[in-house]
Amino acid sequence: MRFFCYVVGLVIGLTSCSHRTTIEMPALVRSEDTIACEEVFPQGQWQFVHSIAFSMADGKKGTVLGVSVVNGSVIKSALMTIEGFTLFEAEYDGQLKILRAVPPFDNGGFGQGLMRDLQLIFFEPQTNTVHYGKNADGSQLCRYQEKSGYTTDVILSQDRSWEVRQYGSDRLLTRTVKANPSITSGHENRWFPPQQLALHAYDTVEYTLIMDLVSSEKP
Amino acid sequence: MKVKLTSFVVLLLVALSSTCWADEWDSISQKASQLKSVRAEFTQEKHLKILAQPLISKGNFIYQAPQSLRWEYKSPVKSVMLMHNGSSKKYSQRDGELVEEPGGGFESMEMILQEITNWLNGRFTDNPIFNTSLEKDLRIIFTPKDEAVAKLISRIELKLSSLPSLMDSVTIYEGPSSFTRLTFRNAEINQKLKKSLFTEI
Repeated sequence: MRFFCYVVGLVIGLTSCSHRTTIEMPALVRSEDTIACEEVFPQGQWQFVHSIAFSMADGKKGTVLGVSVVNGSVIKSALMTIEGFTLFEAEYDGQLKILRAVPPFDNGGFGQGLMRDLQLIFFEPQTNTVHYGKNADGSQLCRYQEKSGYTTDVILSQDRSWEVRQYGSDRLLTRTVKANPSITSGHENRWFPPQQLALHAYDTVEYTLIMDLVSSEKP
Repeated sequence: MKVKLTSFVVLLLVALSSTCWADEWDSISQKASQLKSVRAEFTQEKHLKILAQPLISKGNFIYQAPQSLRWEYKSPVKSVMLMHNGSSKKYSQRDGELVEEPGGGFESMEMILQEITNWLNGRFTDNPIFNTSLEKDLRIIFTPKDEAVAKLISRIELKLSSLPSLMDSVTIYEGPSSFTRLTFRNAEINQKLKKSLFTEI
């Protein structure tokens, strides 16, 4: 049970929706030129395996393996221990279908929270209301206003790294995803997955997921 | 011709003597009691419905009777589990270093590893968690006695090696399309081992 005690906090964190952060959405210096922010997200079907190191605000830590299969709006996901024991497996296509959930991952909100995080990492926000502009530091930015009330900024840096920052309807920061540059092996025009993704959730229980890419495959 | 016939008979005798070791629980336990230590490599295949290809992990393990075990993953994520004198520790790779995970933290695998040490010790039948059945093709099937365990692990299949007291593979079934197979190779037995292998990374 001890391992599960350490992930209970993670479960609570992924389940929670209330906002504690005080980081506010910055003003956008708007531009008329469109920016290809969709290029940071995978197109078509991909399978990723990540080593996920999670840290809770209270210092609890652990490492799991995560499998994510994304295709269009469909996400299939599994979390397992390094030793291969499956903790959670689910599919999402507008509706969450849980295939396996070992306590405490059988908490109803965990799957929804996990899918929310995976959508933020792998999918371009679904909305027609997009504004383009620049951040104060000069980096290019796409601002997506979603019907759900969230505003999501996708920020592109010169070094090919990128960041997603999501704000609630109260304009306070709820999530960030930072992606280290992909290794393109000289194929600059092809999409390559980031070697590392870092997600930080600013919820009732804050948590950080450092996702190191183990393998990527386009089946 | 005579030489060839003698060779054939010797091979047949070797084959018969090696497969007979696992015909009865008593002979398995008796052979296992002679095992003092094992060092072997393993390959772990994780099969899941959503995985196009199984996820492959590699590592090695070291066992010393009666209950010491070092279970180490070399790839894709480094991790070490140590069991010695009733205590267990787990270290996982974090920021490029092996860091102890608080609380040990590998309950399901701890249960499997505890089982593996019991099997290497020849203890198959006096098992509080699993019912066991010995099949004729060097397989032992473990099925959970408890419904709560059955929700996590539906069965375990242990394939014994033709070499006495060793095992070829262990397959842990979680459900119809989800299982983990551990295959062992390059086993070295009854070598003298340092205690630190089971207490230090």
